[in-house]
Amino acid sequence: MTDKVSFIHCADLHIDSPFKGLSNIPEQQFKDIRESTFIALDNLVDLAISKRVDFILMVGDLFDQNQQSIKAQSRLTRAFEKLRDNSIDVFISYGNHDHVNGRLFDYDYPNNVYVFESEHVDNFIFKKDDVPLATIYGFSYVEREVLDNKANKFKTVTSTPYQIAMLHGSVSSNTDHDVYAPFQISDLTSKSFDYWALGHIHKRQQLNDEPLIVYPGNIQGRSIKETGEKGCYHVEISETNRQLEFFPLQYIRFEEITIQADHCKDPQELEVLVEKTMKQTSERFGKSIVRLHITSDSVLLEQWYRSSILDEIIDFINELNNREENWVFIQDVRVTYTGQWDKQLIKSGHSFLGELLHSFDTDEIMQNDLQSLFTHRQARKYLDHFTDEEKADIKQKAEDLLIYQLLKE
Amino acid sequence: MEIKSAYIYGFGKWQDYKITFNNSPLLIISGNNESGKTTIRQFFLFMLYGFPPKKRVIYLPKTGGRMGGRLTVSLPGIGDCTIERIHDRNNGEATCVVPSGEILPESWLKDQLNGINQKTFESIFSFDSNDLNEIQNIKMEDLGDVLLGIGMTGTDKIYTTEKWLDNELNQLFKPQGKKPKINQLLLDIDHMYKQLMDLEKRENTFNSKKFEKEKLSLEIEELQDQIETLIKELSKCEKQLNSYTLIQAYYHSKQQLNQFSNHVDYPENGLDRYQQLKEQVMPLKSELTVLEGSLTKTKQEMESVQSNLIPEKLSNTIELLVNQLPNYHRLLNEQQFKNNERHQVNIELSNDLTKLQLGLTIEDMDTLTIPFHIEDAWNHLKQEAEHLKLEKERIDSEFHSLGKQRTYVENELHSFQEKMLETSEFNDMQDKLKKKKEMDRLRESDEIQLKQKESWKIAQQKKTKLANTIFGIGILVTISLMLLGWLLQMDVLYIGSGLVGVSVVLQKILLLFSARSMEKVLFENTTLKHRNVIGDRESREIEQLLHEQESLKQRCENLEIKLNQIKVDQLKSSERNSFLEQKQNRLDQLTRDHKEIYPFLRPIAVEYWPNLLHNLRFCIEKFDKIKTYNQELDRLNDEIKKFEDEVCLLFEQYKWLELNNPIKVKVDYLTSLLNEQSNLHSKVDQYKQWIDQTNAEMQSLVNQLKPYQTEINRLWSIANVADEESFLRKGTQKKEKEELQRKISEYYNQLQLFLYDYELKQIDEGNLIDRWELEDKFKTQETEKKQLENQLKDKQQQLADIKSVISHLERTEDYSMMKHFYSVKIGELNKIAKQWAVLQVAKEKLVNTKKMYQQHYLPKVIERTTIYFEKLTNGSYKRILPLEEGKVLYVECGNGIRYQVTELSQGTRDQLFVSLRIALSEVTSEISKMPFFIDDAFVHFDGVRRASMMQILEKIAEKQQVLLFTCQESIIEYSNNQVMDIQQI
Repeated sequence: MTDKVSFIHCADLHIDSPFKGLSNIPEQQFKDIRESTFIALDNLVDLAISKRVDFILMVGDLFDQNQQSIKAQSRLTRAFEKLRDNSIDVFISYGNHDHVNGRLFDYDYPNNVYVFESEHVDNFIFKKDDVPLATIYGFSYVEREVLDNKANKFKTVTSTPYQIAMLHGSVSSNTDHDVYAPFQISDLTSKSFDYWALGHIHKRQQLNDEPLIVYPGNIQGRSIKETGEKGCYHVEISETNRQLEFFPLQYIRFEEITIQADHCKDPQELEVLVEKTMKQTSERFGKSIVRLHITSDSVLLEQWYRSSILDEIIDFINELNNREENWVFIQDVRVTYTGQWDKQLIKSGHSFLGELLHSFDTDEIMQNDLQSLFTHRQARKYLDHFTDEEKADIKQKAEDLLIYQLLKE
Repeated sequence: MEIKSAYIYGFGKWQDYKITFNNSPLLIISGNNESGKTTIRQFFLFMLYGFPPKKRVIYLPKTGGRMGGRLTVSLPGIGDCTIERIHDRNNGEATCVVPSGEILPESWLKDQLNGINQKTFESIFSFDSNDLNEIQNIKMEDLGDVLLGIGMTGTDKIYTTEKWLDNELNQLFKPQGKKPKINQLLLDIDHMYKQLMDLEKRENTFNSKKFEKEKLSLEIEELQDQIETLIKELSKCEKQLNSYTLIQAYYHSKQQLNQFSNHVDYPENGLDRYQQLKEQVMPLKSELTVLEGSLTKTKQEMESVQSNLIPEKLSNTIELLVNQLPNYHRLLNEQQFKNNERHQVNIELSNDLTKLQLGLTIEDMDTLTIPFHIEDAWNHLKQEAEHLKLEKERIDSEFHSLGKQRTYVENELHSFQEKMLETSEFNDMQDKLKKKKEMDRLRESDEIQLKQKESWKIAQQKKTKLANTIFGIGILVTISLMLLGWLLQMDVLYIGSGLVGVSVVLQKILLLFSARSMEKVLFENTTLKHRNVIGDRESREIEQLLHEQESLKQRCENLEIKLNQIKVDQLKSSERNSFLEQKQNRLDQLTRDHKEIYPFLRPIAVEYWPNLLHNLRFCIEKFDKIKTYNQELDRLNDEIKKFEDEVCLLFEQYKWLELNNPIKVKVDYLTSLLNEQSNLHSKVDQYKQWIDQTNAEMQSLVNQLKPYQTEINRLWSIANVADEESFLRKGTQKKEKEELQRKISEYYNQLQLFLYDYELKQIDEGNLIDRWELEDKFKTQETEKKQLENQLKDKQQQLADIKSVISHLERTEDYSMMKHFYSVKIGELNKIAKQWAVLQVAKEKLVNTKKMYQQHYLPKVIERTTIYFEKLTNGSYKRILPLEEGKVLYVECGNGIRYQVTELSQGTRDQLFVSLRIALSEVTSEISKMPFFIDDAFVHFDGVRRASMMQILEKIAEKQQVLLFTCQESIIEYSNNQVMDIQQI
């Protein structure tokens, strides 16, 4: 009877990469954020040790090519050394963010680390008690982009009991991420691998059950888009059985929280409500960065929103939470309120305001309006262009702002 | 909106005034000047929009009462609502009652007004003759602005918002600015970016540093190996040099050993064994020598002691004498004592004799004898003398008293005899005699008592005197005792004084007491008796007389008897006196006799003789004692002399000391001589004992020595020698050889550590290494080592530097930190950029809409104005120009000539303005239908134009309510009667 193989599958560690879309972070939180990817890595190592796994698969994007630091390398090396001391091997393939030619540092990883250096699919044989147990296949991104289908290049060439493939790329139909090494699920299922360890997509998902095709997601969320638990899969495969179990590793969670504030008659009530919700969030998720959605059928919410009372409340609560161990930081607030005025009714008349609202309906190119900033020498250099989503949001906000400003007492 | 009715509580001149409009849309309110038309118009405005307090005050009714009112309006889609405002209620705020009965606030009213505020209202829906002149200044923008105010937003709102947006935008970003938030942020980020790039460059040096580190590590390792080998060589060489003497010693030892013969006859460990034997023997032998020496010495000493001994006979004699010494000393002591005693008594005796002052000396004592009877004799003499003296005194006093008595009695008798009565007289008195007798008796007894008293009194006085003396003495004694006691602090004396004092006082008291009681008894008796006599005065006198006579007679008789008696007594006394004188003579004779015998008595009265005798007896006793001492002393002296003579004889015989040495020295000499001899004897005995003991010990030592000697002989025979010297010499040779062999092996072991075997072998063969050669080699190696070490040091320093750089790079989080900082800043930038974008979009939209809105509505207004103007001027003017910004209006008449507004006549100008206002109202009422107020605007209209005006108004009134205020009744004529409702005020 063959031994079972036990391993951890993770990807997209993005060690020491900064979070996106944050501003005005208090010192403590900033410190925690800086440490978060490292702590998630430590958690990963601890988990591997406690599960006594045979090896760890790291499927690309261990760090960002343009965000590499010696700190990241040395901490990673330290983690590998700890794993070596616990007789755990590590198999690494590099992805689009840490492609081989973009590497800035040569770091000598300990001898328990096996790296797929080539862009061609290669393999290592994992031996348990000197008996070959599994063959691990993989390739690395040598250049920033791999645009051809790599899945087709994977072929089992050994007769070890287990065949495992590491692939950093995305399904060709995916539009959320840049599509690299595109493949069709059928490309994978048609091969006789026991496990497809995928990377690149930060959202964890299991694409197939037989064979297992899995995205573990990243181990630490880095923006509000990457909410919820983040971590890795612990996989155990034997001849008769396969087990897949997710373990969260993140140090800080991103969450979107919605608050119903219909009954709040004054800012204090709202403040109490937000505070309570943040406390619950802290208890539920631990350290969290939150996007707060406040909805209300009262016109008061907009007044508070416009008169920056809401900002003050949020600042106050952020300050309040600042010193907590399990802090919650409200990164931004979105308010949804029932407007004081019936937009349709306004539009139906021929008043100036009606005309104004009508002007928002037209799909005008907004970029012209914003030219003054986006053509500015420095701003151009550092500013990202607004996404469509952002543009829509900006338009909506501008419209709401005008209605409020023109109609307020 | 349509106004239905109004009720004025009080407003300007109006009070409790009700206006009701019927359903006709064109309402003409006419009245003369100051009839209050304009006030009503203001009232409507007040009801719709309210006035600020200052403006309200203007319309306070002058006659008092509250200011305010109700306005009922009909609202599209709602129905009739009543608006009520009162000046002093809620700051003039409106309350609105809607058809459902609900009461709603001012804000609701505002919503209903569709954003048309008072200003907009007045610029569109209300005008009067004063406004007409404005037409010449009207520009396109003004018209546009007026148009913007239509709808829910007022013009000012749009402007404020635009301004606010501009302001907000400027705070966030200015393309050329530095202060706004985004500009500042950009500067920060620029700065950060540069820092980040620098840090990144530094991080990128990491690889080269690592390579350098590896290389240096290898080089250092190599150098270290070289140095290690060199150090080993050096140390060997150094050791060879340091121990060059050792090498030499080894070499020489080896040479020496070769000179020794191979075998020597000698007992194993011969020297040691011999030495051991010697060690055993030597103490024994030395002990023997010591003993011999001491024996000789003892013998010599004993002989010298013996020579000092004296012959035994002499010694016995001395001993005998010495034994007598205690006795001799006792005798001497006794002699001394007796001498002292005798001397003492002698002094006492001479003292006693001197005290007696009899002129007696001690020598006299020898002759003085006092027979035993002499004492009685002297006592008798003393008594006799005393007795005689007493008798003599008594008789002398007797004589004296008897003499006195005789004289007295004779005098008495004589006096009595004179007093005696004649016998006749006496007889007369006879009968009374009885009584007289009794009286006599009584008198007699009185007499006795008197006498007794007298005598007692005398005795008493004596007693008292004595007692006083005793008392005085006693007191004195008491005081003196007390003083003494106080001085000496003795309690006994105090007690004594106390006792004496008490007893003396007691005695005095007792005496006084007894004297008093006696006195009492005596005096009482006498008085009693005298009283009894004094019973019958007459009888008593007779009786007394008789008695006196009787008594006198009796007394005379008695006195005569007494006188005789006294004479007898005088005789007796003289007889006794002569007897005494005889006796005295005899005594004197006896005294003289004694004085003859004992001449020393002469100066002494006979009364003291017994006493003197007593003293003399003591003296005699002492003298006897002296005599006894003398005898004893004589005896003692004899004995002492005898002993001393014996001693002196001995000394004379042996001529030990000078004869004239005192006896004491001699005696001491004898004693010491005896002691010395006895010591010498005991010493001799001790020496004898020692000699015996020493002999025994010596014998024992000789026995012990025997076996050792045998052993020594055996050793000698083995070594083939006959004496100790040879044996020892041979032994030393053997030892030297052994020592040499040991040394060589020791040297060999030491040398082995830093000499190669072949080098040792060379030495064995007699070839010594050259010292200079060695030193040369050492120096060369040392220089080489130093060079290598310096190289190593440099490399190590380089390595350390690089390591610290690497470790710093590894440790430092600068880059990582900056990266995160940068990211957060970028986040901030994006966030603010988004805020800015919202504002920017809003602003753009607002501006664009404004432009578009005006573009859309203005032509319409102009078009309508042209129509009305043409109509009013009967087609004189066809067009209104221009539609350009910043320019005043032009009108074009039918022939194409253009006129500025100012060039038009007043009437035409007014008509143009009215046309414009109507057009505006008409266009805007598409959005918001409000009542149209016109107040005396047609002043300059001629009849034709007024009529056309009315037509136009009527037309408009179909769409919206029109309120026309006028003072010109004529205007009514031009209007269509059917549709007009004239309110005559």
